[in-house]
Amino acid sequence: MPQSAPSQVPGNVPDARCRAVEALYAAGHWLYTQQRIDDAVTVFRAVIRVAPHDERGWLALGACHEAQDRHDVALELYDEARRVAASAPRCGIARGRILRTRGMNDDATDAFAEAARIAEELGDEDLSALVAAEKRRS
Amino acid sequence: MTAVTRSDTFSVATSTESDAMPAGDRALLPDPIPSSGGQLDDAMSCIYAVISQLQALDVESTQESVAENKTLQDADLAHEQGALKRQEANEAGSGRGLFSSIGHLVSDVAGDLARGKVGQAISGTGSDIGDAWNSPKFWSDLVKGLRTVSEVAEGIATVARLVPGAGTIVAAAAGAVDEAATAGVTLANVRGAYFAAEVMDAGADAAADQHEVGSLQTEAGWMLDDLKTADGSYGRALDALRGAIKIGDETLRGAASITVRG
Repeated sequence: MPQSAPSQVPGNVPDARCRAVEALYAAGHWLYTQQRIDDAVTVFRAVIRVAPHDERGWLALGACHEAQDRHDVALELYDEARRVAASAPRCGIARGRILRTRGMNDDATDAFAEAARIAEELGDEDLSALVAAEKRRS
Repeated sequence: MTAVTRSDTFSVATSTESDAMPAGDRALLPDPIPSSGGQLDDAMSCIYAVISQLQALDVESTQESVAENKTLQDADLAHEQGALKRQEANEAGSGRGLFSSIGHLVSDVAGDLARGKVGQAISGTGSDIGDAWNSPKFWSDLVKGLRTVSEVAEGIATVARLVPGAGTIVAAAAGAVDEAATAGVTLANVRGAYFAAEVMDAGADAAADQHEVGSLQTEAGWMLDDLKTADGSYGRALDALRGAIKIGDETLRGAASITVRG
């Protein structure tokens, strides 16, 4: 086992991990937009593997499953993001959308409310706008 | 970018698409860091450099193992029918191998990640996964596969030392692979010790043995999930990246080639 190999690599490892996540996410995002969903799925799984606390991996993997009409899996992923990720307001919105589509309006409203609260805490105007738009549609 | 065709409930669009969309459909999926930022260009080039080097790595041992295990798919899996048969099965040449079984383990990684149900899934009696879990051949192959993973990790680290600018991205990749491989080897060794003990205790009560198997499976479930992710997802992610970059981004390939050449 090359236990010492990573330590021989120059550079700051935490920074390297961040860059790896960004590169993997970018690649997965590109695959997703090319409708190569199966390939994107594998890459986004790697994003989750490297950075489970990053909401984007869960969100993107859920989006891939939604694209494949696997909404149950997507819903579970969004739920898991709420437990694992540091903050997962966008997964909350995506979850709310699925719940609303299924006629679970109360649950959807709760999901959007939670996302709104997080958006306010973060001071994220774009996110707040997203939540507001979803609320108007509910 | 071209947005993915969406069903009624699929509304997680990209930000680029959102500009022309109603507010309600605005993107949830954030765009990656703009490639003009410099840092991402470098990171992507590094990934390509790693992939290029990985392509040069000869993983013949893996290919040979796949071929070998195709000949073992008809092996007798009757180790649950009695102590004598268990003893025969516990000799590390019998049973269904890793590469004929691992596909079942990684068939739905997303669901397993979300629920952590690997331990429960492999406890199912009569299933292929259950057979694999109880097969010494599976665990023997697993160790071989993990050694290959470790070799790849070492290769990645070597690339990091050789390719200017590739060090940081490679460090993360090598670290993740190595970490998972270590956990997997530990798990395999524990399981191997169990089989060795069982061979010596071939007369033990079958029901009691099965209880022990169940306990070990439960305890190992999360470890296997971690290993499975590394063994399947990470490797296939690199495969996907390799194809994506090769087919889809000539500009990036050119930039990366410059990086590789230093």
